[in-house]
Amino acid sequence: MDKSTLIKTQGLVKRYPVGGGHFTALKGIDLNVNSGEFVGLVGPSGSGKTTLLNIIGALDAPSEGTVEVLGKDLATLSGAQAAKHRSAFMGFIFQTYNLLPVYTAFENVEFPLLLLGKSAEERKQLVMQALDWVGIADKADSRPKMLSGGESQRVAIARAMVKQPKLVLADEPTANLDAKNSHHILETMVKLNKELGTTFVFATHDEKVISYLHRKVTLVDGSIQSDETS
Amino acid sequence: MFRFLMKGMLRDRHRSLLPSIVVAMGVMLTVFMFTYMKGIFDDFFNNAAMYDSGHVKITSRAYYEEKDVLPNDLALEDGPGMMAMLRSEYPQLNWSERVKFGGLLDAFDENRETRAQVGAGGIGIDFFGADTAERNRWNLGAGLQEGTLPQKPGDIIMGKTLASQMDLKAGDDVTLISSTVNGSMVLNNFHISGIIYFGTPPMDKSMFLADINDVKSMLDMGDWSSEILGYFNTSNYKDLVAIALATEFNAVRSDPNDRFSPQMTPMLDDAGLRDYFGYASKAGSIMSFIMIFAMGIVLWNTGLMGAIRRYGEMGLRLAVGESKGHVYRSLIIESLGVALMGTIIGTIFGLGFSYWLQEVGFDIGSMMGDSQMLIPTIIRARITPTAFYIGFFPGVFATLLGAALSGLRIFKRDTASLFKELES
Repeated sequence: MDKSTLIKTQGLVKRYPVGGGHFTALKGIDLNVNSGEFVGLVGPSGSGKTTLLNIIGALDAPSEGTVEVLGKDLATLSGAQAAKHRSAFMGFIFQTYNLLPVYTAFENVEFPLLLLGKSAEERKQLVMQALDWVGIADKADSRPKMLSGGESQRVAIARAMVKQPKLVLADEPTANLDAKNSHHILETMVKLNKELGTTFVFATHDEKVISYLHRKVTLVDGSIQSDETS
Repeated sequence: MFRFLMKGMLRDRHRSLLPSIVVAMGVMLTVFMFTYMKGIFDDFFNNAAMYDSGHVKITSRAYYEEKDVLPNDLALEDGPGMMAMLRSEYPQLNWSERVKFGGLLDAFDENRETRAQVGAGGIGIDFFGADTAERNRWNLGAGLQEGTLPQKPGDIIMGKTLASQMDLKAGDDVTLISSTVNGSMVLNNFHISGIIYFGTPPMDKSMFLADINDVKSMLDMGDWSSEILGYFNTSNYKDLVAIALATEFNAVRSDPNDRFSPQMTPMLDDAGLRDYFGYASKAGSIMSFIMIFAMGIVLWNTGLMGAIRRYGEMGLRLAVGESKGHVYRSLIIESLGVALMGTIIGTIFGLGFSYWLQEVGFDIGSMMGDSQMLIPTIIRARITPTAFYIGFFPGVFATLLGAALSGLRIFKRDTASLFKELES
């Protein structure tokens, strides 16, 4: 794998058992994503974009084919190793933010650093830096229920970015946000992509997200229909 | 990480306070019900031992065969000799003589005309012996309603209901009409020194206590002994020890061919108590099991619900990079903390209520009507060493089991569906 290639899939097939037969969600995906890209997996519901995101994130295994992320063949990783791989190199952003409600914004962002065993001092510095990136350092002590949807998603982005991962996987990150907040969030992610060189891979069918993508991989019925770079 | 998880647990009342309260309530009920049942069964057996059977009873073989009709004419000869031998060779028991008898009690007016007559039962106990343990054993001082305990020969104390029925009070005299062991009619005057509340309906309604020497003299028994009761010095009945003692005693001193040879009978073999004891033990075990099982189900469900409601949080933790094993272990540790806290609090409260019921008791005398069972009218709990740990079975094990089983789903969870689950 080329040094700048972050993700490489070859002949990726994913089948799900359905009744007596099976449903093929991915039909031989070959995809390379380079470091620092801002790429979206685009397509209608059921096109296979979330399935592909899951496989890249080591949350699911393909039925056939190979996937390498950061030089690691994911098929060779055990569950614990896959968890370690996610913890060390990947950040996740969800449609519904999924902040832990009993913790403050600071503590939610701090959580991935605890898994990495960072010291308290280092955690404090990194968390405040991440909250600063997304523009809500002043909300560090607020609980999720005191935050708006846009603020919650920014905390979620800070949580994904705090360990400065090489790769961020975002599944419909703007689906629950209004237009103004969506643009704000996307601008934040573009800024982080530019300043930190983090690779972003989106699964989306939101036109607002699509308008920010540097590269658009369109999936239809489990196959890549087009791969456009702007 | 541990501090982080503890912080979340303490802040989330649904994870800490509420399950702890549920566990504490369940454990408290378990402990209280256990001591309550223990108290009822123990009181029944203690009463039976005190009033009737002792922990072992020595009678003649003939007396034992016809004991239902109180055949004092079939009593053991040389009671003092037998008592001396027992005190010497069986010092692990405290020995007391008893004579049970019956007759017609006659209350008379100032002209010595009969104003009330009632059939009554009497028990002769050792009131005045130098080393008698009977006064303490019967705990007579606590039940004295008026007057004093017997101070001199000829004094008796009478059950409260019987005295009330005959309109007698402390200081009055009564005449007992009965028959001697030789079959002669006997009339004997007694002085009522006190009225007593035994706390056991059959005793209060029809019994009085007299000094054993007065009774023997009245019945012409000489130095005969109807019943000699032995009580373990530790006060608790030990069935296996009692059986072993009786077997040894009977092998050496009892002759199947001699109806007047002595025979030792363990408490449970006297008056069919063994069957009742077996029934009570089984019923108690079944009730304890049902109670612990039911509480276990409730608390297991508490553990289960606690884990299920945090399914989303666990999914997120897995996605962020925490291993399944770590998530599972943290769930178990958290559950153990909640279970231990709830169990300790529940045990403390359960023991507190039990202590109250043990010391103060709950009077059900008005509900017992004409009961002839030797059970006390005041229900009391009994705190035993088991009460200190019995709550841990449902409290800790069931709660942990619930958390462990629900947590197992973490391992079975299809990681790929995390995004969908987290977004639902």
